[in-house]
Amino acid sequence: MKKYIIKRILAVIPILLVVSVVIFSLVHLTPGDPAVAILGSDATQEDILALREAMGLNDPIPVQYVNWIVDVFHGDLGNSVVSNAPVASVLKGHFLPTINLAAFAMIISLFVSLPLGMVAARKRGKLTDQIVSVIALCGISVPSFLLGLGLMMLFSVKFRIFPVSGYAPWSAGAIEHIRSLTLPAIALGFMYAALMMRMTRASMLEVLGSDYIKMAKAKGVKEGALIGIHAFKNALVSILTVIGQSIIGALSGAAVVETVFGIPGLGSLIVSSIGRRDYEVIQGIVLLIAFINVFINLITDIAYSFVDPRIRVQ
Amino acid sequence: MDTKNNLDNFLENRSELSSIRKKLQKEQRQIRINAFLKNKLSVIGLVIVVIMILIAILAPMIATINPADMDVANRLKPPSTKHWFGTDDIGRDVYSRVIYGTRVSLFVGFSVSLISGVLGMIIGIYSSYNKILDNIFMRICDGLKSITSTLLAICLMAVLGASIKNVIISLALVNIPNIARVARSSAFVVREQTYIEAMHAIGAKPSRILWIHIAPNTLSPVIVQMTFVFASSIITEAALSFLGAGVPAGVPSWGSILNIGRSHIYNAWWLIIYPGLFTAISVLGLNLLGDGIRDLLDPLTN
Repeated sequence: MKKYIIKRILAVIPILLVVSVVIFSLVHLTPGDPAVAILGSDATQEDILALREAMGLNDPIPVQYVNWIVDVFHGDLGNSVVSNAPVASVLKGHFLPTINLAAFAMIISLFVSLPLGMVAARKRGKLTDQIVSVIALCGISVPSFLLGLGLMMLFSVKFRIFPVSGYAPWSAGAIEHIRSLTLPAIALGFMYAALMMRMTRASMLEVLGSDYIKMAKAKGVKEGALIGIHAFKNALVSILTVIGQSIIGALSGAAVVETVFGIPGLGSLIVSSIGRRDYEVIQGIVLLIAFINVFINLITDIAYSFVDPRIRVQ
Repeated sequence: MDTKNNLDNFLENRSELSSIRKKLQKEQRQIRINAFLKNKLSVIGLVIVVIMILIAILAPMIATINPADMDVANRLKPPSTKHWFGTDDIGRDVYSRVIYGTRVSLFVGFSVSLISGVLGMIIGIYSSYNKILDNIFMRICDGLKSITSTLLAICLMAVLGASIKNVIISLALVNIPNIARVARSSAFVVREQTYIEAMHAIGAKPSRILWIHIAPNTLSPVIVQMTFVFASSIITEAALSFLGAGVPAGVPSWGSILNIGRSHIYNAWWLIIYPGLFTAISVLGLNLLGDGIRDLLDPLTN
């Protein structure tokens, strides 16, 4: 067990290396001189040269990369080109809304998709199964921002049940908080609910056809226990993969949904930073989300080994 | 005399054999077409995709008004006999813009799935053959996957600037790892077959084995994956244009019409409903078609 976990953790290192190189080169391939961008086009040549020296832009690219990585490990993500505030503190201010939105979306989609997927597998070919399949098909065909706009038109503009946009933090009261996040969470979670529904149905079907389930049925295990315990536990490995992928997708997909609903999270920050050409902030956000994703993948891998001990041996 | 007879016999047999083989191939094709037609959902998907392609090709004939024409006196007007889908905030005809938007979406989707399909397949097949290359490519794929395609596309667009060409480049880059993985895993399966071993034994060059014997066998899963890449590229292009990081301002695109609709959500429902329907239906069509092709090429999923 320990050996498996250590092996998984070590496998993360090359991935982090690739992630950091890609993000670093993305920003450094940007046409245009960052020093000019900060000082404005009417700055004197001397000022630009001085700033380039101060920012370390005259060093060879590998040296710049190493310096950047060392800074990142010290928690220093540089300063915003526009507001000159440290990127780390800018990110901190926008972190919670994104996490809350993604978590809410995941909770909704898990509660909807797992039972529906299991019921569809149980009633294979029947009307229930077909309805679930159609819902899942719609889920993967309607982009989250489009669903968001539709929900907004229906529930905010027409029926005025939910606010059109804006975000109420926890401190504004739990009900307001949940009200402000309900529509965005549904918009974001629907696609992942559809993916999880499909995967739950498919893997349950596979398990339900196996001999040990027939055996359990023959010895008189009740329907609920059969599906909920015997079958579900074995179907869980492939469902876990989709859950991990969905959390990752929800975190980055939040970029678009947040913009639709005007939620001040990391996603709307990255979109507004693109308009301002604030590459330091963009770099910081992408690095943060990529690191979280690597971490989620690691957790999923380790969770596999708890669910299915065979994986540890391989 | 005997040899001549033998030769005649041989030639006759051969032509007979090839005609039988042709007949067999024709029958197999017919069986496949029948199986595809029996699956109603995939036929619906095919019909939707064909209609969308026709709309894209015939856009200048179907559209009623030049999509760039501004009728400033009739801004934000609801659907009427003159403007079937209403007008946008500067008086452009939404119907014509949605029709021309089909062109942009399909062009982006098609180019992305073609480019990422070809490059992904080359990378996938090579990495199935060479262990060192495989390790390097797969680590890069893992890294890119952690950044996630949405964020990577947004960043690339930020760096490259808004244009159709750049949308295609970023989405192709983002989707190459997907295709490469699919090509790689099916190449692994093909590589273990006996006839590949036999090719090695008779001394065939690696490039011959890779491109003439392994590559064609990985084609069908790659094609299935390409239809899904097509669908997801349409979604991502619309999302990028919605965020203002996709196609440049004046170009008609479903995403940019939706963006205008977001700012006028209280009074201009037609700016959201029509481009939204076009996006959802074309993505649905591609997904149905993709599912159909997959079921057809891979009978195990049934």
